[in-house]
Amino acid sequence: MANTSRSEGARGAPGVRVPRGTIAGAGISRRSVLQGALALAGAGTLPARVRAAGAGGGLDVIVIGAGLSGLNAALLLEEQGLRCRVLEGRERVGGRIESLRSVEGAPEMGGDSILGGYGRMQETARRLKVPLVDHEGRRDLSPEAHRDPRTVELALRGKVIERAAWPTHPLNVMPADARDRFPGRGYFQGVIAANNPLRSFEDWWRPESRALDIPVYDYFRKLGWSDATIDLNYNTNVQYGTSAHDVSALMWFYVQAWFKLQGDKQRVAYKAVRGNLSIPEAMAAALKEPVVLGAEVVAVRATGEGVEVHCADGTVHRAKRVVCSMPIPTLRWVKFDPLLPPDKLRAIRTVPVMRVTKVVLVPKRPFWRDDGLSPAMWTDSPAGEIRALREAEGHDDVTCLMAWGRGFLADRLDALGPDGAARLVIAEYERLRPAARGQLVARGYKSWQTDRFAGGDWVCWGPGQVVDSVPALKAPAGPIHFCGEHTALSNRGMEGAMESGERAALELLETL
Amino acid sequence: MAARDDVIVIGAGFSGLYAAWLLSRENVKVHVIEARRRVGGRIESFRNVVGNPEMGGDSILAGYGRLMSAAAQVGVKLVDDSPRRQRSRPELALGGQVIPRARWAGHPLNVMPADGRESMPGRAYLESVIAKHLPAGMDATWYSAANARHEQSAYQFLKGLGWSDAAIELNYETNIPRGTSAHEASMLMWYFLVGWFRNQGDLGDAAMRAVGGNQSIAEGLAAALPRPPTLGSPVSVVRQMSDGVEVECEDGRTHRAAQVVCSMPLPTLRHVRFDPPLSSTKMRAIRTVPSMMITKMLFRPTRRFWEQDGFDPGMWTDTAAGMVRPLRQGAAEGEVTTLMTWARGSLAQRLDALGPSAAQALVIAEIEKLRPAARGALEPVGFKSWQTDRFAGGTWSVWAPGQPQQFLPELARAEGRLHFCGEHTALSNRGMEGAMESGERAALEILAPA
Repeated sequence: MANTSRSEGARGAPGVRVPRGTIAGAGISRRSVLQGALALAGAGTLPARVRAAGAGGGLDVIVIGAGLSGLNAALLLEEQGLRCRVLEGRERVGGRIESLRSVEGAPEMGGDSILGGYGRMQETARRLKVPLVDHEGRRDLSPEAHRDPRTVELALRGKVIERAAWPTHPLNVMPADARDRFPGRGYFQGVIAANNPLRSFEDWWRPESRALDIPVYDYFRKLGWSDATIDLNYNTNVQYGTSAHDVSALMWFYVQAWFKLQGDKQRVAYKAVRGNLSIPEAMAAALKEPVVLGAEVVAVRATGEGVEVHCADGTVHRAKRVVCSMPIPTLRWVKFDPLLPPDKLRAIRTVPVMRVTKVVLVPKRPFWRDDGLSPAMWTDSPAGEIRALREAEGHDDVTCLMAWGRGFLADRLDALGPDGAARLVIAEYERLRPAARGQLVARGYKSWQTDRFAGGDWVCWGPGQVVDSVPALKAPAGPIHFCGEHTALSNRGMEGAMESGERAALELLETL
Repeated sequence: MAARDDVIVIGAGFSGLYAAWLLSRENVKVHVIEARRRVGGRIESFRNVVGNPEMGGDSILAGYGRLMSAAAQVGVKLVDDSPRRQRSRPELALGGQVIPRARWAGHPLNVMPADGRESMPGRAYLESVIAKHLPAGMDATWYSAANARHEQSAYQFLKGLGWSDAAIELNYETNIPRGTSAHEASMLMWYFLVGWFRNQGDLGDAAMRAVGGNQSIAEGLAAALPRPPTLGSPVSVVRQMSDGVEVECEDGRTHRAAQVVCSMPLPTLRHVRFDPPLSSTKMRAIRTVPSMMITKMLFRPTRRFWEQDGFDPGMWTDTAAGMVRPLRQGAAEGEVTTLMTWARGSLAQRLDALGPSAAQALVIAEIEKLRPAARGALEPVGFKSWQTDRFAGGTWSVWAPGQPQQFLPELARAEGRLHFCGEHTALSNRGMEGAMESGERAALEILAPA
């Protein structure tokens, strides 16, 4: 079995539909595909046992959480004949995917772009007949867009800075060879790409990488950047973490390489037509047993025979195994009996997640035609990063503006509450752009960290955390398997969630 | 520069007010600017609740010399609350039930270390263990580089004593005293704290409160200033120039002075722009030193349900109710006026995410589950989350391993015309007295430059 080729492995498991992306993504993650293939090949010999397991009256598996990872795990396990029940704390499925359908274009409050290498996502959408549309080219904040002055304005210290004036502007603290570059992620990711010491980003979390698991601040300093440069490029509209101090450079080496591969594969940014939420909705609808909504899990007990899952309303569900897809912060609130292993507990308690608060603003009319500036801005103000979304069917006009508060700015907006935050964002935007006065209406607000079923957004490893916590987070604990974006090994975001659900399902099947 | 004050003090909590008050007494012209519409900062007495319970800093311990003296000088009377507090002997509630003390030592949920099986879990026991292992030199210079060799995480320390993970979970991470896990708490901080608390105890076991609530002391200090603090004016920019400092507020107003005393708490400093920027190390400290997360709730008992079930009204639980403390703040000494619940660390975040009403409902439900006699007997009368308070962002600073020696002296260090105070800059005290100490130090920096 060990020498089964990928395609044979896939064929060897007739019951398991191998998402095309798994194979197509072989270049992204040969190892995980091989592991998957092995497991699937193993699964080919399983069905008899599995069917026996599913034959009794009881549940085989309880999946906790109806986000992408949990649903993907449940679908794969059902296809193998296991009886699964999905418990979800919210009154909806989708987890950190939330499409604001009350606004034209259904802007994504959570996971937004399905990139070129998102094979599992693309395949799942196709299989479940969820139409995708490509938004690449309509996105105004792609790294390339930063080169184009028509797409995003730069606004610092209360003023929009003309792109032509930027290279010699007194606030320009870009490194000497990059004075004409727009600050922020597009720029520094390029710098990381040119100085990425990871030779391969498979196994990026292995002990050999430990020396790279330093603060990204230290990495930038080694490149000769000043504090002011780091502040402008990293800490303003921070992409991961709260500042360059609390984020692992190793994580960035991996993230950068992974993002690059997305674009190398296929330059797309898909989104489901009615919003990405359609994908988990379709996944849930494809399950044999409907997802149990409003089932907030408070305790998970492993007994001699199996696992008991206790919900806040007093209901208890029993199964042979559990797949737990809960995000890290919410795991802190669940009692596991027996206690989870020390390295896993430590990771759950200490690995941070991203704080993101989004405010959706709908323009009454295209005020940007008055001042001739782009509606999208990258600011150092409490309005954060404002993206102009063009998500309508049939036309390319702006459907809404989305302000992103990240890290400490998200905290600040959260402390004001939805209305106060929207007022502040609008006031800051209007201060920079008098033409916008009275033209913006707040139509949506989402803080992931104050959402009790999320506690934050994606995982952001701190310096020194990667090598120990990545394997600890994904490792099973007795009859409990773990998935979720924080347990993904070779992908990030939505595709990471899908990968992790697949991995957890295969792991469970292998050991049942 | 045009007409201006000698000193602008940013923040009207204890540290800022005390600095302003000391400076005023030396005829320095001071202007206090406060973001909130009240003075007191992390002192907040809920005056609409009987007994004015403290949602922030609560006990004035025997060694709080500056605070006691300041209270006396501004005419605020203190009363010793400790006899009333000692009337309560909280119940232990684990695994969904109240465990009678007599049955604890042999209880299946008892995972205390071998020498502590009789002890109640939690902070008192933890501190007694740390007290037995205090290294020498943990005095006034506890944060010095020389003590770095004693630094480790609380988790490492407890594992080193042979504690199981279950014992750490029960004693440290349940109703967590500092931080969000034992991994993130500095032992230097703990050594210092335990020694400092012991000194407080050596001076007497008083636990005083101001009549009318501790906020009265802040109000008294503010009233004693020649110029009343400007309220409702959050600061957004602090600009240091060759001849003075400009403080810009969110409302667009700009104030000028020769020097500034900045008492803002760490999380709020993250949102202020300093021009020129503060030192690299200070900025790093501001961005990375955590603050304790605490959410407190108040419940009025509509009947004395504890007389029905025979348990103490107070509880130490592993539920979402956290710690339940009976407050006896009425006219009659024995009367329980309110129950205060404390949620700490990630439990505080969980309750915050629910919002006040749902969080209160959850806490009531948890108490009722443990004590059916309490059914319908709890009326929510107060809620305070410090971490979602935009002018606090948390309560006291919690040093992570390696941080005290790296950051504390730097946080207290003046930069040009800027002086820093606040509990996070206190060197020899903690809590309210730490705030006072830091305000005194900042005032002295101005009055008697080195």
